[in-house]
Amino acid sequence: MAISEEIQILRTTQQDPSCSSNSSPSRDHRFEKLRGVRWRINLGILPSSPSSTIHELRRVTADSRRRYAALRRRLLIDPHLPKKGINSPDLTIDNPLSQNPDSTWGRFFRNAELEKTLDQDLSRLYPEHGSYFQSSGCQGMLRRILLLWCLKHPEIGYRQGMHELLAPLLYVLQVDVQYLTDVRSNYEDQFIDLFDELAFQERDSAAYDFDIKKVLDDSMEEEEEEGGENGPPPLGSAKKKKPKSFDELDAETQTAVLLSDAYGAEGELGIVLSEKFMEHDAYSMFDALMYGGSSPGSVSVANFFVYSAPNDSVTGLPPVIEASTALYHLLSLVDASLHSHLVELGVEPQYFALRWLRVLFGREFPLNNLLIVWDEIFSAENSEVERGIVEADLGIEFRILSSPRGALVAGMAVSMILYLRSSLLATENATSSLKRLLNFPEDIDLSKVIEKAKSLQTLALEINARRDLIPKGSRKPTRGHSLSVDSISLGSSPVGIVPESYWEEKWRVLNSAEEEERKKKALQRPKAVKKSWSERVKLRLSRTESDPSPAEAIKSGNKPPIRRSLLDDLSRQLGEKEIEPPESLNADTDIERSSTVSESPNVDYEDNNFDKDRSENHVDSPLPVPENESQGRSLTNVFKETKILSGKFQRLWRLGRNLSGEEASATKEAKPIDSEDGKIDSEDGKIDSEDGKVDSDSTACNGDASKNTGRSMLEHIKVIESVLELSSPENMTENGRQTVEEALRELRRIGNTLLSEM
Amino acid sequence: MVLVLALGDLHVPHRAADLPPKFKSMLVPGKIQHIICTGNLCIKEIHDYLKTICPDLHIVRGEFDEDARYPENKTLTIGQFKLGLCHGHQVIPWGDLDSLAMLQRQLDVDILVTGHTHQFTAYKHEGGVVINPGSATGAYSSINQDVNPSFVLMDIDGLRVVVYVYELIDGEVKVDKIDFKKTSTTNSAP
Repeated sequence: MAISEEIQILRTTQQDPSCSSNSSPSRDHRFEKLRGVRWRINLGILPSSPSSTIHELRRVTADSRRRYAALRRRLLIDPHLPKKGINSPDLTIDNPLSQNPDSTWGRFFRNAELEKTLDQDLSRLYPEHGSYFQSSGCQGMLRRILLLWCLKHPEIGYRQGMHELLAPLLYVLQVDVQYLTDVRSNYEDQFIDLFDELAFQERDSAAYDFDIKKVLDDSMEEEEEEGGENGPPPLGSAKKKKPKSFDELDAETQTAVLLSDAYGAEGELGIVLSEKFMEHDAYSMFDALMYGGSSPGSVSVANFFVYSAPNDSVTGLPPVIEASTALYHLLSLVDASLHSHLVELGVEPQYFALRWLRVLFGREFPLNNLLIVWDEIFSAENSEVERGIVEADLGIEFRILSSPRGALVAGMAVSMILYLRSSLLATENATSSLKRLLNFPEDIDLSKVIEKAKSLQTLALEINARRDLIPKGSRKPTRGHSLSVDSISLGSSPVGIVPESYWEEKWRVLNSAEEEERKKKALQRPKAVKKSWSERVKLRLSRTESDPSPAEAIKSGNKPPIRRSLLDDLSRQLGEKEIEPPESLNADTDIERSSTVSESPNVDYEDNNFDKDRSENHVDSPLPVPENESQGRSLTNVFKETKILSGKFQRLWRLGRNLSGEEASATKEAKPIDSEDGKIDSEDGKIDSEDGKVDSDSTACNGDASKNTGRSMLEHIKVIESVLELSSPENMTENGRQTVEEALRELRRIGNTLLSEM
Repeated sequence: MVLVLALGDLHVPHRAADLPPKFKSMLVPGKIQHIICTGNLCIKEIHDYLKTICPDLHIVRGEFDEDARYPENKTLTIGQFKLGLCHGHQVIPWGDLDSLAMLQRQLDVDILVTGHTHQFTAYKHEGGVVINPGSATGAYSSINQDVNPSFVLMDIDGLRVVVYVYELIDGEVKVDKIDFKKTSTTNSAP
């Protein structure tokens, strides 16, 4: 028949389910091949402890089926049948046109309305597997199940998407029944009573010995439940397999046999893998999925269909919006750049997450993959994770993250977003991003996605556990922006930073940088040494003593140019620093351009502290300068130069700030220093490489871009440094001057671009 | 589960202004699949109103109908039943069962619906049913001044038809029902 063929095809193409299941100590490994039974255990319909016997499973199954049958009898009404107990129904109420909502006709018409809505959706269900899902039997079952569920839960009613949740459940049960049929055909003798044949055979043999033992063996075997399926047992056919006793069968087949034993507990109603009661089982599975757990943190998919916020929610948002926000929150922790990119484009999470969550990714994966995904999701515990120390009044911000199953769902979603990372980052507007997100590619490495989802799950659970560390006031998420606030409070840094805290932070960093710098005075310049990023930041900021360039290393050890004194923190007195620096900076070129350049630094940043202190420095630096001035340098020149340089270093500082904010990997930081070394050697080459670096900015993402600009700026500064130290300002070669000019130009340009970005 | 509404003899606007409000509140669109009307509406507005209740409308000509294009008799098949429709002023004596039975045999129908007497009647006769839904507005007739508004709703389900009668008596809607089962299936002629 067509249905079984379809299922055979689907079964052969699907991946082996057992390979994706991880072994947890409490998991029941008895039903590896029977997905329907496994899911029923995971969803809580069947007892989940591994020690529960088949007997108990059968009892529970039978009970749930009885409940469904009663429900069906109660709610599916045929107005023609007289109601029990009412001999003459009151016709004024019970006529077809009655407006009375209690009348059977009224209910009949309401059901008819609901069925019409259901049919609209059901007719479009899984057209690619249409030979099973579009068959009238299957459609009828789906319709009845959904109708009864919606009647039982009138507060939600029917929403589009519920049919897609139900279809795989029914399918899985059908597969199990198919499996059972296969087992039957292989081990016929376990399922058939062989009394007749035995007697026949016995009669054939010499004496009619009534072999008690053999009869007893046979009576243990199952009677075939639906004899029509396999046809009557072939009597005396040659192809009869050697009859095995029950104990000789392998464990799986034994289980299958016991589960479908018509003589076991509860008789036919207890046959766990039963075609007759597929509807009942599917209903209980659907119900358990929709109203999953009793604890507030568990995943009840029905909540995703609700439009209004539940009473005890912290955030006051409908659950699906809250869950979508949780997704974005998790994404921001894992991949801030992608998150900020999506937020920038205006892609709100619920645009795509609504469909993902409501149908539990049913629309994103083909059926076989979906079954594997659901295997994983269902195997996660659905109860809220205990968080001992937390005070009761903190509440739960993201409900979905409170349970392992919810966290896995969120992790799965984020891992899917990450899978599409490169294509998403390339999109220019919200529409194309959504198009990518909503058309998840078909040929994917599912195991990788699931692995990632699991790691994200642990992360999500961890975050939730640490939630009590966050002050309550900052936790209330509104759309979009507060997400960044939340992430800041958790330590990562996206865009949209509050300026003051940033500057203060920088201040502190630089202060400590000063301390470090002092300690590091004796340090030789490290080549290709991996440093901690904070050290490197200080390196950049205080480029003076730790001379990065080999050219400078050749010269005298400590050659702190004026920059250093400026850059050195404003708590320091300038006087104690070397005074030679001002001389070396007597570049005429600087003077020419000083007027124009001096504008920009002042315009840049309004930080009162800095201005104040800088002016201090300005005041201080010229004082020692005139003493040592050999040539006729004007104070103004120095002033302007210092201003220029301070402007440059301000930018540098800013860069450092950015860089400290991001999670810079150690290797990345080491690289710029290396590259800077290599490049200082050839002056011309410098500019080219810097240009190249600047060009690469545009293609990299934000973090890389700022790093690159930082690097290039540093290089420019190094250029100036080296040139100025190579030759005194007076006898600076034309070449050198040009180099310096170009470097300064580049620096200014970068500074301006940074300005325009921020 | 086919619901068929049978009504007629409204005589709007000459003898009655409109259907009683209680009837109007019951006749909501969406529940009824067919309407058969015995005639004497008389104007197009009532025709349009009936169309809003159900798009499948069958009308035969009564003597006061202003639209002359309605037929004199009509037959239709709904489910397993053949229905015949005629106004009834053509059948003399008016409302006589034997004469109506003649018409039923002539039209070869299981259910014959006629009007004109403004009086509700329903007879089981010779394996068939003869129904008169009365006047839905309670308009007076030439033989009867005191008329209760009434109409009929038939629920056709397989071989069984349940006839619900709605009458407005003293301002209250009274409902009654009659069961009728057909003995043999009709062969649908090609």
